[in-house]
Amino acid sequence: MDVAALVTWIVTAGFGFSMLTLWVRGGGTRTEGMTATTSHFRPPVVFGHFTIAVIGLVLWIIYLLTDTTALAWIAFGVLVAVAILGETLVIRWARDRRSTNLRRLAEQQIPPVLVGAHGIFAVATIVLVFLSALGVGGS
Amino acid sequence: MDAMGTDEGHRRTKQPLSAALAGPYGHPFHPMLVTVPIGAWVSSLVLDVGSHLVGDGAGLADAARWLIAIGVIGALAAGAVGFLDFLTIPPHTGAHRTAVTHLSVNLSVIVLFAVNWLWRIGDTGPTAAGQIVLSAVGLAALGVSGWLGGRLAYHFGVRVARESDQASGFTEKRS
Repeated sequence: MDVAALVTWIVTAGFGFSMLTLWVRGGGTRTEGMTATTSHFRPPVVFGHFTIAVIGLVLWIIYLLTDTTALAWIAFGVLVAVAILGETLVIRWARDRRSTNLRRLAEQQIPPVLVGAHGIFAVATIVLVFLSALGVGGS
Repeated sequence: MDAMGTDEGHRRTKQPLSAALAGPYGHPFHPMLVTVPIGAWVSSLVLDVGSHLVGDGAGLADAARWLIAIGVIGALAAGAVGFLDFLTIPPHTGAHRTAVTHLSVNLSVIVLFAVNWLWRIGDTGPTAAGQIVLSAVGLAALGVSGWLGGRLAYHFGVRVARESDQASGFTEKRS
């Protein structure tokens, strides 16, 4: 169960790295110039989501190495924070997607299939981490 | 042709994507963080060899396994920060090709050391010869990758201060 969570976590991170790349390449972090807004995502939210997720992954690996139950719960708490930030991003992404004049936004360069895959693996990771913390399935 | 122009693309690699995460201008965090995996993995190999030179090598072999784990965790942190610097490099350029190789080799090295760690679970006594060879291969690959990282910084100037800022350190100031 806990190793399965590590695998889904790494896969989720892989999709996340691709999404971050598309957002940055689309001009998501550009602030210079007075031209039209390039993104509706606030960089601290994106980078916060990214950083907390990496910290959680590292905590999860330490949990796997040391088998400390408290760490599993901390990792779960971290994941909930990551999910809340991710949720605010995906809600904004989905809302903007409905209007055709916002198609040029940096985050709209991320295809739905990638967002969906990231989300599915993220949910799987949260469920697996929760079950591992509860002690279901053993290590 | 690069749409944003060579100078503009080069200028952008000097600024952090996020100063809080990747380090402020002129002080990138990635080169600081890579010292953790490099130091841990080099030391683990030394302890592996040492485990064959002392009476009871089990203690050193165990410490070497700990260092491998510390190195993997440190490498993940360094890699996450390095990825932010990677994203500042415009695609379809020589620097980008070098960076893709640097990133790919580093990911492979992390996998090698993770496998190396798993291989050692339940081991007793001095480190096995095959595990020492795997560590040596990992470090050799890390050396190649480090060379490419050095090329990105010292040759292409990724995340290095602008030349005008570098020159400002050489203006003579006499009272």
